[in-house]
Amino acid sequence: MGMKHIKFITPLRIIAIIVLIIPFLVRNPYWLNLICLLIIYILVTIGLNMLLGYAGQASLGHGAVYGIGAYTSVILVANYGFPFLIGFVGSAMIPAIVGLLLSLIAFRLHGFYLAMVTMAFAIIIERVLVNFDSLTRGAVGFVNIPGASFGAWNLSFTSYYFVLAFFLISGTWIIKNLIKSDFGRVCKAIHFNEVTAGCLGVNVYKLKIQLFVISSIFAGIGGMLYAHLTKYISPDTFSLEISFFFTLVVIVGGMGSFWGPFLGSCALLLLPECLHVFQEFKLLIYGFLLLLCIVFLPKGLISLVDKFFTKKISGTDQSLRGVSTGSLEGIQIPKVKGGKEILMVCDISKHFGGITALNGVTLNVREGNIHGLIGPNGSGKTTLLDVISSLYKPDSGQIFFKEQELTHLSPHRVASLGIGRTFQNLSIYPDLTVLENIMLGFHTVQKAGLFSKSFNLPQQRREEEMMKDFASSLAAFVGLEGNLFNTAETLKHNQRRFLEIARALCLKPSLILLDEPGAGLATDELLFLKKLITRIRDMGISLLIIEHHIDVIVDVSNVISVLNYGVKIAEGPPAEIIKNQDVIEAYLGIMENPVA
Amino acid sequence: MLGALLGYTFHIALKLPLLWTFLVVGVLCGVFGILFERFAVRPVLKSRSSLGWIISTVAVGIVVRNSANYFWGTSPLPFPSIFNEAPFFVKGIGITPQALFTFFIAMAIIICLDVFQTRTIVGKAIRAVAFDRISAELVGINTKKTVILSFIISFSLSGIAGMLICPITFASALIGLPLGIKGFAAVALGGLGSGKGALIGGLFLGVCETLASGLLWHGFHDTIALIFLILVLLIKPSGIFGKYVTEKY
Amino acid sequence: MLKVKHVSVIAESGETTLEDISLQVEFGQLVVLIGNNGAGKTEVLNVVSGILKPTDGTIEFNGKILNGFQPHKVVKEGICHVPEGRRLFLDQTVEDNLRLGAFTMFFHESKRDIEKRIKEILAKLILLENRRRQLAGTLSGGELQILAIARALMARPKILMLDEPSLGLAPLMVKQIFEIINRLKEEGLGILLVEQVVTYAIRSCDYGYVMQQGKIVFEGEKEAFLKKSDLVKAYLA
Repeated sequence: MGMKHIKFITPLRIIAIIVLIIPFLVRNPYWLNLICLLIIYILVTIGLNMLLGYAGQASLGHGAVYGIGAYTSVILVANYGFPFLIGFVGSAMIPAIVGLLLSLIAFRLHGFYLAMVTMAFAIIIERVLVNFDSLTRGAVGFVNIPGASFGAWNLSFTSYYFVLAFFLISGTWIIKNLIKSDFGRVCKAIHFNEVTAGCLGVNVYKLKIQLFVISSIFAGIGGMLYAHLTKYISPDTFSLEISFFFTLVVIVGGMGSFWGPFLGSCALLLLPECLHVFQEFKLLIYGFLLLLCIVFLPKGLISLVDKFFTKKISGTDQSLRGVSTGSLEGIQIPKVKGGKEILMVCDISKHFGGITALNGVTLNVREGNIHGLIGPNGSGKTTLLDVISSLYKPDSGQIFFKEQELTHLSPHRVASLGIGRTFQNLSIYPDLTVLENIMLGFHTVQKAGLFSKSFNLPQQRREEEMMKDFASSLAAFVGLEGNLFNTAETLKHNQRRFLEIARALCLKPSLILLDEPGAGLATDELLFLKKLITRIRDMGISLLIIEHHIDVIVDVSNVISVLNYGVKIAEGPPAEIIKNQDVIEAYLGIMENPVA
Repeated sequence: MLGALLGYTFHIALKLPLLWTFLVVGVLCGVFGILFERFAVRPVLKSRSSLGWIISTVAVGIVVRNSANYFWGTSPLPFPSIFNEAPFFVKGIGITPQALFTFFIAMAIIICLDVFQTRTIVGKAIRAVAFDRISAELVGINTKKTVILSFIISFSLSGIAGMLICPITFASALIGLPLGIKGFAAVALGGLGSGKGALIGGLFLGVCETLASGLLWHGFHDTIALIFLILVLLIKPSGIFGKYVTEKY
Repeated sequence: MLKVKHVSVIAESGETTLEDISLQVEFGQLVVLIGNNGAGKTEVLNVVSGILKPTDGTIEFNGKILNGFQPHKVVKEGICHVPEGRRLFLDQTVEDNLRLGAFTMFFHESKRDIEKRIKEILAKLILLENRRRQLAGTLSGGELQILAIARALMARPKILMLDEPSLGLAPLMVKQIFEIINRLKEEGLGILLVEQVVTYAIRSCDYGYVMQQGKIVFEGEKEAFLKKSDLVKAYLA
């Protein structure tokens, strides 16, 4: 969103004002009813957008959750005579439980398969609604549902409208707060790559549960509001079709954009109304327009809006300053008593199918050291880092970090203990800005909880400011201070490498694992890298570095270990290693060795 | 769905003999496949929108379904079987000749498809393009044409399948979606990319559905199959025969 | 012969991937292209084989301009590219991989001729002879590299381009691969070889180019390279 206004007038407030004055402008009851429906759909889809648009979880079953919300509230009110408020609570809680169950499925399944299973779920729910007629009145459904009421006060249509408006405005506000916080950043991260997000400290399971539950609550409340609006519900209102509709709204509006659901709902609900003119061809034209939309506007309708409103980001700074200017007093590394081993890899073996990637590797990194790791391609270096990060469980052996065993922990736990890392093939999140990428590193250390974030409480605001400041100085530290607000996509290869390092530093680690940080860097950039690595060590952080640029690794390391075919064949100070015969033969070059 | 309806038109309305109808339906659906690939698949792939395929598929579905509605009307059209309607009984189980015929034709098509994929060079080329598109180009395969070919085959067979099924269910514009979902479910169960898997998945789901309809509450007959689908996928996330491509990061 | 003339590639992002690259490969010649990660060596091969479109310059083969050709057409012209990481069809057998390598020939030559050639190539590269029906996914790294070269040979190329054939291979295996490459050179094939591990490449080449950041910074005959080992080290180490 590139709109910068006087602080008072934000897009949210504009929408709020529009929503509140509509009943005074629009008198036609048919259109007013339609707008109520629009509000409900927007409410459901802003929740779904977080799950599907931001976090990329292909859930096609939200129509069913919407239906469960509707039926829960109606059953409580009509069958058991509970007051409206209880119905409301029920319509939030039951879907929340359903959302929890669905999230468990999302632990195991992704993409096409997740979509299939959530679709299956939607079909099953519809069947349940039809067949459990003792509870749900079967295919006939509920008629003459009582309108909303608080105690003795039965709400008029206009009053109900304001109830809807209230839910929409507060719901939008909550989602906006979540998106702007660390929660939103983490969602985008797992959309791009769950695995590397885990290495940055993101508890992917917990996040998925939160996402599904929140979006289900929104859908459930939406369902309840719908039931009391139309005063009639039946199973075919909540068939697979409405699930598809919600998904379409999110995708057509613009996945992962905040206002997407608004645009999408307006387009997909109001457009068919306008097409009434065409009678039988209405749906046909609708389908064509949909097709045209996805072909020409793959990022959704929001891309039209962006073209008009976004200020051009003033010039992307393509250069790397070459000077590390930031200072990092903020990083307080608890010092382990000097000289001790901070990381102990004990006799680690790992097999993949018939291939032995690591065979009894033992390696110790001393506190305050820069420890190099070299070897030919396929010798197991990256596998070793992956085992340390707990992406793989070793077949035998143990790993200790500051005397705590890592072997049975999950990747995000390992990260939260103070181990940061970068990746050989780079895993910067292209849709997040440079600043946001770096701020991801804060995920494990921040204290504000989900509640604080949802309501933008002072604690959250303070923390967010502090994180921004610190991340900015980290960016300066690696020379990226000119690119803070550019999306990471726009960075060149060398800048991306340094971004990953800044992000790893944000975890406030005691140990950083660097996987080929110099790959693809030119000579002057390699010089900068060397300086950076030394500065990091001077701050008290230990480093374990895989690198193919021999001069870099020889110049900065205190100790180098050499792997070949998963076995450690040599270890020692750099001067010894380059003269070591085995190392020369296996890695540096056979016979005519230019280095000698 | 199109297959069923086109079949109706050619065979019943225009009195074309059955065998020719199969051919014509196959060809027309193949043409549809070419158009679909050109206008609904290729542009979406180019834009690299991760879930855009859902939209284009749904959009085309809406367009086709409503066009079909317009041309053929909404009431289901009966498609008489060429066989005697009366079922014959094997050990007390009734089987209609039409069902048997459909079964055998389907098996034949599946076997032919399998042979095509594993024994002919063109079939192998299609598999190669699916496995690694760039590598396939580098050995000299025209990947663009190969992709179009796979769409033609897939759509033609779907059309023929539609024709096969409509003596049992009726022919109407509405039969597409439930059939499509079951097809997807069969593929998901058996694992994407495995023909064997789709066959077994389909068989399994069909058997489940029929058993459930007989033994359990009738309203839940297709639900049981779906519940099985969910359970299987939870145990083996890529389907029974699916290959789990472990992309670390 | 293959002539690359003043080829430049500028990516969508504005980044200059290749700048003014000129090189040539004659039949029976082994030309080596060396440089660091990110130097652009793979991009040069990609431009010749058609995976990447050049922004400027021409690619000329025996007088014919190949700019803008789709990769499968380039194969038909007689240039085969063995990509980095081999990229074989792991779900198909050794035999089928070879058959697919001859895909362009299927509509000219008879099936019998193609089968004969498969037998010949397998005999030449002894390692694979007993593994005809094995799934390519079960082969070891060295065997995969040999299979990749064999697959490329099935199309009867006049120019063979290899991208880092020694990647991830044990030194002994690398020696064997280079023996094969040398044999192919002697049989008249023109070979353009990209490598990071320099030693074997320099020993076998007739001519070499050193690349850095998308440009050619040094070129010369084999002797020049051996003398300037320090220079080479500076660019690579």
